[in-house]
Amino acid sequence: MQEYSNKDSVDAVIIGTGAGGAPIIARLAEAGLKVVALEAGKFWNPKKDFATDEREQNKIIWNYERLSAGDDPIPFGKNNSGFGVGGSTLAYTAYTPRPHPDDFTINTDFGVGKDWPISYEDLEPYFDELESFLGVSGPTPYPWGPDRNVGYPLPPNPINGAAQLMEIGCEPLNIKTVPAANAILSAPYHQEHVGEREACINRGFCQAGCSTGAKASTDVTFIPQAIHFGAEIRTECFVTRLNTNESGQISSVTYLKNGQEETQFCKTVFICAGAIETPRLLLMNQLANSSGQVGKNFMANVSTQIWGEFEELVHPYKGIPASLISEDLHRPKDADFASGYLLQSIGVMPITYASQLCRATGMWGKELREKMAAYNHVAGINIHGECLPYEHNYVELSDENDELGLPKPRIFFSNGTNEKRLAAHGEKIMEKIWDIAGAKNTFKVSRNAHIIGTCRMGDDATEAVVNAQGKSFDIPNLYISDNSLFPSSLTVNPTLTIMAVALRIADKFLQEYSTSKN
Amino acid sequence: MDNKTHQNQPEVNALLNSEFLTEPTRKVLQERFEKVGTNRFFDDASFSLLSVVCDLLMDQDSENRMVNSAYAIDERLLHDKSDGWRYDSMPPDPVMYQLGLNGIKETASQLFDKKFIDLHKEQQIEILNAVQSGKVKDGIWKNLDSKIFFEELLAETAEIFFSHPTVQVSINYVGMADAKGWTKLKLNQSENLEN
Ligand SMILES: Cc1cc2nc3c(=O)[nH]c(=O)nc-3n(C[C@H](O)[C@H](O)[C@H](O)COP(=O)(O)OP(=O)(O)OC[C@H]3O[C@@H](n4cnc5c(N)ncnc54)[C@H](O)[C@@H]3O)c2cc1C
Ligand code: SF4
Repeated sequence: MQEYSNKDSVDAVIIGTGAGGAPIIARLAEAGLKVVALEAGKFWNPKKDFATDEREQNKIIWNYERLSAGDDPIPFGKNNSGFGVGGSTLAYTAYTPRPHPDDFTINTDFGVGKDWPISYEDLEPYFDELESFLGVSGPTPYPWGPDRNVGYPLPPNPINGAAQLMEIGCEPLNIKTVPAANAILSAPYHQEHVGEREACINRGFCQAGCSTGAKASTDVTFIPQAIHFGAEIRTECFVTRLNTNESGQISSVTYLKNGQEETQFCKTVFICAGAIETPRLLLMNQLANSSGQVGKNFMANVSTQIWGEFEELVHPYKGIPASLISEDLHRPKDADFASGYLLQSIGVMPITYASQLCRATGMWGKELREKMAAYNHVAGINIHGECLPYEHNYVELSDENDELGLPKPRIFFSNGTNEKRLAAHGEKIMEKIWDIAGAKNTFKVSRNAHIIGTCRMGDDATEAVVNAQGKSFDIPNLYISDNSLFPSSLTVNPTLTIMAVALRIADKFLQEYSTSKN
Repeated sequence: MDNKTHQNQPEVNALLNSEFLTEPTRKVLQERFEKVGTNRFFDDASFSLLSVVCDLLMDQDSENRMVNSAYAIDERLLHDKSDGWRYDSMPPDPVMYQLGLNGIKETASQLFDKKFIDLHKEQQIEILNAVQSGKVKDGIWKNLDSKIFFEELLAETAEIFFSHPTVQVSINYVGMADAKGWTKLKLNQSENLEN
């Protein structure tokens, strides 16, 4: 791997190697720029480092403590944020539906939330490119959304027990389902500059590090590509400071490595640290916040789950956990709320199940043991729905420090009326589906998933932190690319969109860069 | 962990030594299986109390105990390791645990004028139910939300308990034996390893 000196003012420093960072690292390196990525976590070797054991996998989780406040405090940590090269894509289940064109215009359509400064059409070429590059397995033609220019490169993966039960429950209700699009290989796949990746062997462990590399986390896709083109991936570097010069531009970035401070000089910075760490870094440095919007409008998709026990043997640890989808409820006709949601089936590993069961039902002792004895008969179904941006949901710095001596972030989150109504609508439908499928002893887990918002993009410098190109309105050589710049939460899982926006930001940056050079 | 021989131990050993585990998985599970802990964060009295509470939560007693989660909790708190978040309304985990255990001690002496660990199982369960439902309000509980303390304690205890191979095999979970992957995904279909 290429290595740069700290003194060398590299063309770009990218902070974070997850969904928003990795595509930029690769794109800029491919264009011949000198690129250094600073990543707080390690570079794992999937085959050697990833045991099939949930507890062991806590090492790929962002475990610096966050303080969760509000009426619906978000459980961070596991099932929320990743740590290491790959970021949260190490832990994502790689469910990669495309957003719908009207996901970008929620304010125009419903008079609530925020429109995006870019459209589906702006991102469409990137969706095409990403699905091919990552090796997304999914059904062609796809029944929802605009017609595609190209189909999925691979056929869908086999569906698991929960998905088969969901099919049974949806059919009589005329809810259309198809095997979901997942960035998980249903056949071996070769990509230039990445190499050969193995096909998925249905181990069902996707909510953690995938040991085969079948799951398209960025550490096995964009990062190898970036390294091929000469990027340096510098790991275990925790960025703490962005240093400015007299003209207010970023001149260097300071990070902690093995307890020591080091400083990398650079011409441009891309902050891609995720929707909590990105605003935290800006707030700590008191930068790029003339709009007052840094940390504001924190969102988390409505993600209620219903779990049930079935007569059938399900073996919920086998097969890709989220292997079925319905987008029929993207805009429900009888809705008393704005926007909508998708439906997905879910398998589950035993510790995640036990933990959620305890928190959601309070079961313990004999009752808990009996419930857990039925684990092999368990299947879940859940929704992913719109969460509107609200003033009462935000990230701030607390006065309590973490082990690095940095202020812990405090995150306020309370669902509003729209989220509660959407959740109630989804619950009713999920209960019907599960009832038809034969579920017994169901229980509900009310939750919000994905961390979104907090540094939104927009056309108006008084209302947004960055423009449609991800560039700060205040500091011309500071960019953001991650889940924090979403103005609205979308009705689908975020990652494909984060990556598409990232590639677009990289391309726009490179256009400007080459113009300024000539 | 307490290294007691449980009835399913031969089955667990056979599975852990089989070709169906990848080497990294085998290593992690064997270490967990063999690990014997000591208490270094809690003093002996608090640790005994925590052990009894963990047993009650997981419906076991010193006779049939599969895993004592208290060791792993002790170790985490000793190193002040966070799991990534906590309720803003609660003090840091080491403080929360100490306070919560003291709260249980207080409630036991208030209600039954005895030490919690000397009470009958029914009385102990009564106290834990009161803590879980927020019915305890005096003393320490004035400043510590007993419901949230209970939720945190229960979730952590269960996560540790169900991550032990002995317990996993007892609920017929063999997902760790995935070195060759799975091919029988249809409902009611089982691989050779599954029963
Ligand atoms: C269990 C789980 C399942 C999921 N399933 C899905 C799914 O099926 N589909 C989907 O679309 N999405 C899913 N997601 C969400 C998805 O993973 C995230 O939305 C996405 O990865 C966010 O991208 P990001 O770039 O914003 O942040 P991340 O991917 O989290 O990347 C941020 C990176 O920045 C690094 N970093 C942070 N601060 C610093 C610092 N100060 N210095 C240096 N480095 C730093 C972090 O270590 C991390 O590598 C899932 C997430 C989890 C946890
Ligand atoms: S099920 Fe497939 S993609 Fe998921 S972790 Fe296992 S091998 Fe990887």
